[in-house]
Amino acid sequence: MNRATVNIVRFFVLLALQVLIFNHIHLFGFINPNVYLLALFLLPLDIPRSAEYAIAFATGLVVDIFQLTYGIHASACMVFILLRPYLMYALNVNKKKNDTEVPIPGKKDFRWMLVYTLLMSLSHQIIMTMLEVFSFRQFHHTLLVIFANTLFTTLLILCLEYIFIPTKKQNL
Amino acid sequence: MSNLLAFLKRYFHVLTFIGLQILCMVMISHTMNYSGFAIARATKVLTSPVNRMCYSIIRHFNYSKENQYLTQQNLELLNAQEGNFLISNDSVMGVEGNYTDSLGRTKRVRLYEYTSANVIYNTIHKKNNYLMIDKGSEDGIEPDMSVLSAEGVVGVVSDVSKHFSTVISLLHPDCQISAKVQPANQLGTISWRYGDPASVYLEDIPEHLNINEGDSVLTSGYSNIFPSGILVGTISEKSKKPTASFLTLKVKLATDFNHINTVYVVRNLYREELETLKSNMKEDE
Repeated sequence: MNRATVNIVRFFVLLALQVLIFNHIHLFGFINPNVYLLALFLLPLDIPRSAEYAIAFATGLVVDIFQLTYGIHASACMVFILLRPYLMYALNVNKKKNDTEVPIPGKKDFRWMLVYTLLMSLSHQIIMTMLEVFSFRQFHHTLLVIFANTLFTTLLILCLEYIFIPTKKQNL
Repeated sequence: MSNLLAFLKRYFHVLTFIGLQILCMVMISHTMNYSGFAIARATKVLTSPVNRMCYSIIRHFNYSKENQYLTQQNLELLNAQEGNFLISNDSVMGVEGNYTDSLGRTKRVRLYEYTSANVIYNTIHKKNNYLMIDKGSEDGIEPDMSVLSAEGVVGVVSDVSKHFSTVISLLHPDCQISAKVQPANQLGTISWRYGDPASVYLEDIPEHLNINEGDSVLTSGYSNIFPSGILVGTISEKSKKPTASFLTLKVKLATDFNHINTVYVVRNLYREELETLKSNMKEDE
């Protein structure tokens, strides 16, 4: 299977998982993990930026259609894609300018993956929740929703990554 | 012109981003303002089959909760039934001051009271069949209270501990209840014979009566245990011994004893009074 097929299949599987299972999980009444973000995490970095945005928009819109929140996920996904290369660059220790490899468990150590995944899902969750709530009333509850959801999403995404991506150490 | 094209080519992704974000914002503002949003109507075609499938599965996880609500509602409806009261809305009785309230309405005197319970043990294939329910003396259960299911008669409470009770099932040779067959309106006795857990026998019905298969058998209410008019079953077979002048009717039970979960225990609030009267009657004989 070539790279494009793998990506398309991954998108379909994760969106199906999100729509059929994770949209119906309401832990403590407000935790609703966004596992489909994993597909955007693993989207190759060397495709045109405009295509990336279009993919993010379409992905978010599919989730939106099922949650009846038109535009919220789509907007958050696009911000996610926008931030992705900058955050990767900021977190890289040796500051390689053109890092075209998607960070996966085999390539990066666990702490790096944890911080990266946490910050990325946090950015997505902030945009999403703020657009959904659209007010600063009861801000402490909004913050709670943002952090709880971020932690849960991060946990699930890291679990899926470490389960399904083989982690062979390259040069030890 | 070429400058413009070069600019577009260079910043195409920025324009894409801004354009799509504007589209998002338009959609968000629309969902906030209008209830009948056009995209929502269009996408319903796509989403509703998926959602229906999803919810048909999710529903299975909520059945126990929903069952509780339904049991509660059934209990309220059962308790409100007209047949549970000694005096119903009767204008003649209403005139007597003792039976009316300050507004002249008939005071209703309750005779039967229902409680719900769950079955925790049940046999149907033994010679003497019992059930156990998860309510006992602490919940007000006493021996000789009747036990009903949503479908019909189940049995009679025989023994009570603090939190549990034993119920003699209708599928027990000692459980004989008084019943009448409708529409002939003839009294008889229901008893069970070892073997078939789906049928009981109604005896002492005179043979001259016109009784058909499919006639319903209801409790008579004369035993002070069962309220009157509770369905026992329907007649499935008529038979008669050549020497006897009484029919034996096979009754297909309304209650499916294989699948009993929730039962209703019925208390007769005037049982002691009625029993005392009955025992006086016997002493006179």
